[in-house]
Order: sequence, then structure tokens, then C-alpha cells
Amino acid sequence: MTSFDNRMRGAIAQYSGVAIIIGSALVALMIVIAVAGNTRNVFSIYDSLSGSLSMNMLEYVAPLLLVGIGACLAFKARVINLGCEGQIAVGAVCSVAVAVSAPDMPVFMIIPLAMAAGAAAGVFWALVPGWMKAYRGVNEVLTTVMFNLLAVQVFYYSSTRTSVPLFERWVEQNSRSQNWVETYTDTAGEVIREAMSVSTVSMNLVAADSRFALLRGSGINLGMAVALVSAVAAWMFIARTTSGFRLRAVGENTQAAYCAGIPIQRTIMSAFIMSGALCGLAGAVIALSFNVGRYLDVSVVLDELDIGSLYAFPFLAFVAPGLAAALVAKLHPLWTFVSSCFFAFTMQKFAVAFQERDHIGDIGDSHIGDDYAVDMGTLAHNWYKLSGLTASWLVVCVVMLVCVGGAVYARSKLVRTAMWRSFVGTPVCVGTPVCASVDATGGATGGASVDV
Amino acid sequence: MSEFLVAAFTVATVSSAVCWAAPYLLAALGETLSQRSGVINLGVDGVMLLSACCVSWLMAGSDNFSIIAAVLAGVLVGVVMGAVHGFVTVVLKIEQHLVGICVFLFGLGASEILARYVMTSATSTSVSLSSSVSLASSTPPASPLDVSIPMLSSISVIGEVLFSHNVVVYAAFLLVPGVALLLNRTWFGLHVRACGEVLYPAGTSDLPVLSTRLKAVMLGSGMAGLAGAALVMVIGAWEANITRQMGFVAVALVSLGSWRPLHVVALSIVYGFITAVIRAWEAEGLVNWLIVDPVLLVTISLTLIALMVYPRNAKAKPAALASTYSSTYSKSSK
Repeated sequence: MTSFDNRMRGAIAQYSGVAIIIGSALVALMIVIAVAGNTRNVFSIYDSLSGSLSMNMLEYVAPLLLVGIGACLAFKARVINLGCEGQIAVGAVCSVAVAVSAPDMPVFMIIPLAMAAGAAAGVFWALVPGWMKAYRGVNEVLTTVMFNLLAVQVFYYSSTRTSVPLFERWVEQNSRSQNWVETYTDTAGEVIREAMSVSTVSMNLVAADSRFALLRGSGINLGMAVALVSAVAAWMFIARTTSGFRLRAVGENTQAAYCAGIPIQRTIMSAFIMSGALCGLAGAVIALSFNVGRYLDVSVVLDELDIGSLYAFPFLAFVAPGLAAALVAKLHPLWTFVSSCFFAFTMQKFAVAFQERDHIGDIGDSHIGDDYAVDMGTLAHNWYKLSGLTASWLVVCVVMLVCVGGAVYARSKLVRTAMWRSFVGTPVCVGTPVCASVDATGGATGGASVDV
Repeated sequence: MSEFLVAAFTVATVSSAVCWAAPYLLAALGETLSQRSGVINLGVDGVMLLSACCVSWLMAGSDNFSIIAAVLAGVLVGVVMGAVHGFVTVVLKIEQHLVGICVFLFGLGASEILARYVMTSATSTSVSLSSSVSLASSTPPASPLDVSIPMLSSISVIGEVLFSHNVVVYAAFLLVPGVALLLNRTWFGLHVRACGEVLYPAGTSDLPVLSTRLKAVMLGSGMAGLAGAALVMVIGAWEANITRQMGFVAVALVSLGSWRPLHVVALSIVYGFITAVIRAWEAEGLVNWLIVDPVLLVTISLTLIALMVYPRNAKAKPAALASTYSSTYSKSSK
């Protein structure tokens, strides 16, 4: 028994580099498989509706950056907010609801209002887990994941026309006057797929969409501007303000922060609120930059799918790289911009790879839109088409591996960084110090030191 | 209103409640074991998904041998994933919650991929990939592993409710005293509890902290794999996201049951009953929310409310939960 331990310790000390590489390879593999199994639906739906091969890389940076900044702010206070998924979903739903419910409003008011609605919804979704963490000592990882599940149900519920009346009136109004189905053809005239027409969007929302895109066709839109501004603001907040200092102090050493008179519980709540607002904003940006009308068309497509093929985490393609971007940037909001550009590039490769695979399935089997049409025989038949897929898949794997490996290596070099000290290697566990100080405040919360 | 009550309290529903308790119970028991050793495994749900996928894939033949082999393969999947989780958290000392979420997402994605690209071509007849809601039946389907206990199952109501299930359900309930005895009456259990409670004294007294934790995690994860098999037995075939995230509920049940096997049993029977009742209502057509999954919605909301209002027992929690252990030896040699 003990010899096993000793051998293990010796091996770790001797081959720590190998262990780190194996660990990061495992983690990278997990990320790749998780994203592959979870995001195809939304990716392909958005892609097929936009008509282009995949979404623009620059269009993809803004949501990643917003999620990354949210993660920076939360993780600085040692609050592991994994509820980005749910906050994005709720933010998207609310921003679309606002944009749709006021069709007569001028464009320059619709966009800010929709964004504010998204941010407010994100805050709302982060409040309860925040309260449970700060005042009840319940571990936030479990509760935020559970809130994600609830939020995704809300998302599907609200985006299904038949079951819910939220957008019904608007969609009916449009579908009466327009053709729903339009066949897109590429330049060679080959029929690629049938997709819902974007022309069903009412004029005002088209205007909103064009106003949202700052430079037509480049993918640079208002969301990008908002994300950059909030990155700078977050950096100023963390590095240059008292509240930001409190945030960092709570994250670095909760007990010392408590002794210095910093209100622990309120700081944790504020970390949750800021992070939730940014994630909700990311949801609003996603909904707006993929065109509100197209978002509603997604709901039409969702109608035709059965419940089994709905994913538990439809926005994972934005959440996982966003969090990874924040971690690779060592929780620095400005560096998060750089790393999120990098991850946007990688994830766009993902999207292209998936779409190539879908095309193979569609053409080979002639079941357009059939989810389960791709079988191994078809893939083998179209092997020459697979080479592009395989190449991009390999690129994605290697890049992911390098990123995660680099992050884990940086961990061993930069142990002094608060993040890594809290996450790795020290016996001070994530939940307990907060709760110990909560107990010290005098039993108002009862025995709050249990976390899940 | 009355038809809801009538559907909830038929013998068939109560009988399937016992079946539905089994996956909750197995997952929560395994999680109890690994949390008592100080490792929190949030990847239970991913383990359940992947093992359920493997089990339903291997269950293609309907003879007894292949089904038993399938169940064992499910357990093996759990043990392997537990070994990965244990290696990353215990040996590499990476933050346990995040690794757990990674394992969960891995299981979710891998089972989805496996189901879509491997299972469809192999066993398209036995595996139904279509919607669950329309086909939901309140009673679990007959399986070759069904065993009616000779004398007892002939008692009028109790026999059907308690003594005519499949082997995995019996195994689940027999594992409760098993785990309790293992934790409280054996050396291994003592080591496990020591690793969960007092980490550094345990380390200095030459206790094999790493290997004990690894074993506990692998055992617990193997039980989660068995839970996946139990789930397939109850539902009868694979469906996408088959667990409806009951793994997270199971993790919460451990802390709500104050880390004791017997408390965990009571809670998982309650959850099994809730699940069975909702599925019975679905089958009767009383609950028809289309795109929203009522089982997931109700169980998750109930768990969150319980976590909010439940009086928390600070003493029952393993003191060293989610903390990493690094001995002086490995520190000095760095």
C-alpha cells in the first residue's frame, strides 16, 4: 500500500513533465469530445441559416471575450461561476423578447435596450447561486450547473413556436406575408440545402441588424465594440479600484480579507452579479449578431427535431473556449482579448469541420436535414472529402492540446499567481475559507460551512 | 386532480418507483464513498451516460450472457473513468470540481457521438433513438434479468412492488448495507474515512492517502457505471441524454443525506418515486409540456430548493473534502 504511494510520489517528482503532458492531453481530449458531442446542432443550424460556410471568426470573438471577462471577474474572487451557459441562454431569450416586442421603436433604442435586457437576465440568473454561495455556503459549481440545466429548458421552451406564445404573434404576422422556405443555391447552381428565409424578418429588425454590424460583411459589429470596452473597464476595475482590490483579496486569502474588514459575502455577490451581467450580455450579442430573425427561425427548425436530439448545453461552443481563454490569459481581461481571438480561430475551424461532415452526410445519403444520416459507409464513400475534415480536426486537436498544455505548464512556473495557487496544490480548499469566515460572523447563517 | 392521484398510486407506478430509485441510489452511494475519502466527483452524470450508452450498445443480443456482459462492461467503463478522474485530481492535484465537470462533459459528448455514429448502424432495431416522451411508459420493460423471488413475489401487492424486479435493482439495495459495512467496519473504510477527515495526520501516520483515495474514487465511479446500467434496464433502450442529469441530483443527495448510506437510501427512494410518478403522468397524457423535460425540471428544481432550505449539518461533512494532499516528500524533491 504505502509502497504504491511512495512509488507514485517518486514518479510524480521525477516525471512531472510527462504527467503534466498526459494530464493536459486528457483534458484537451475531453474538451474536444465534449464540444463535438454538444454543439453541432446549434452550429449547423446557425450556419445553414446564415448561408455562408460558417460564422465569421470576428463575429465569434465578442461572445468569447465577454464570457472570458466574466470568468476573469468571478475567478479573481475565487468564485467558480460555471453558470455562463445558463446566463447566456437567458440573456439571449430576453434580448430577443425585448427586440421583438417593440417593433415600432427606433433602431438606436432597440439595440441598447435588448443588450440591457440580456445583461439584466444574466444577473437575475446569477443571483440565486450567488446567494446560496455567499449566505448558505452551498458550493457554487453544483448550483450553477443545475441553473444551466433549468435555463436551457427555458431557452428551448421559449424558442419553440408551437409550445409557447412568447414570439407567436410576431412570427404569425410575418409568416402570413412571406414565403417561409427558400432554396439557396451557390454560384454553380447546385442546391446546397433548404433553409428558412431571412427575408421574413420585419423591416425594422433588418435595420437593427444592419446597424448592429458596424462594417458590413467583415464580422466587426457593435458586440465587438461593447466587448472591448468592457474588457478595458474590467481591467480598470480589477487593477485600479478599491472594489477590485477587495475582489482580489477575497480570492487570494479569504480569512485575511475578513480580518481586514472586507465584507466577504457582499464581495462574492458582486462577483456573481458582474460575471452574470457579462455572460447575459454575451447571450444578447450572440442573439443580435446572428440576426434576431434568424434566431426565431432557429425555433422553427427546433420544432422539427424531437426532444432527444436537443442538447443539454447548446451554447457550450461559446462557454468552454471562453473559460479556457480566460484561464490561458491568467485572468487578465486585456490578454483575454488576445487568447479569445485565438480560440475563436480554433473554434471556427471546428465549425468548418462539422459543416463539411454534414455536407458529406447530406449529399451522400440525400436525406437533407436528417440528423442520423451519416453512417460509416457513407463516410468511407466520400473519403476524399474527408481529408479536409481530418486535417482541420487534427489542427483543432493540436491547438487545443498546446493551449491546455501551456496553461498547465504555466501553472507550475507561476505558482504565485492567485488563481493557480487557489486551484492547484495548496491544501486550502476552494469552498471552506469563505464558510469559516461566514461562521465567524456569528451564526446568523447557522452552520453554513457545509458545502456540497 | 383526482386522476393525477390515481395515476400516482397505482401498483405499477409504485413498483417502478423502486426501479427508478435504483439508479439514484447506486450513483449516490458511489458518490458517498468517494466523498467520504475526500474526493468530490461531479462527473457522475457523465459516467452514467457513457456506461448507459455502452450497456445499451452491447445489449444488442438478447441472451442472458450478453446482457450480463453488458452490465459488467458498464461497470468497467465507470471504473476506468473513475481512474482517470482519480489520476487527474488525486495524483496531479487539479481542482476537483472543474475536473468533475470536464468528465461530465466528456461523458455527455462521447455518449452522443457513440450513439449517433456507432450504435445506429450496428443495432438499429433494438436501439430507439426517437423521442422518449411520446413512447414513455410508466412501467419498465421486461428484461431477461428479471427475477421474481419465489415465495415472496406471490404476495398480493408487496410482492409486485418489492420482489419482482431485475437483478440490478436487488444489487442496488443490497449494496446499501454493503457500503455501510465497508465504511464503518473494515480497515479500508477506516482508511477512507481518515483520508476524508484528517488529511495531514493521516499522511504522517503512513497511511496510503493517494491509493486509498484512488480506490475509493474508482469504486464509487464503478457504482455510477452500474447506475447507468440500471437506468438502461428501467428505460429499456438508449435515448439521447438518457440520465436527464440525475447524476447531479445524486451528488446533491449525498450532502442532503449527510454523507450516510442509510439517509441516502431514503432520499433516493423519494426521488425514484417522484420520477416514476412524473413518467406515469406523461404516459397517461396528463403532463404534456412538449419540448420541456418535466422530469429534469422537477428533480433539479426540487434539489435546488432543498439545498436552499435544508438545515445544514456541518459536522457530517468530511473535513478534507475537495482538498488536495501533497506530502512533504514530493514537496522537498521538487
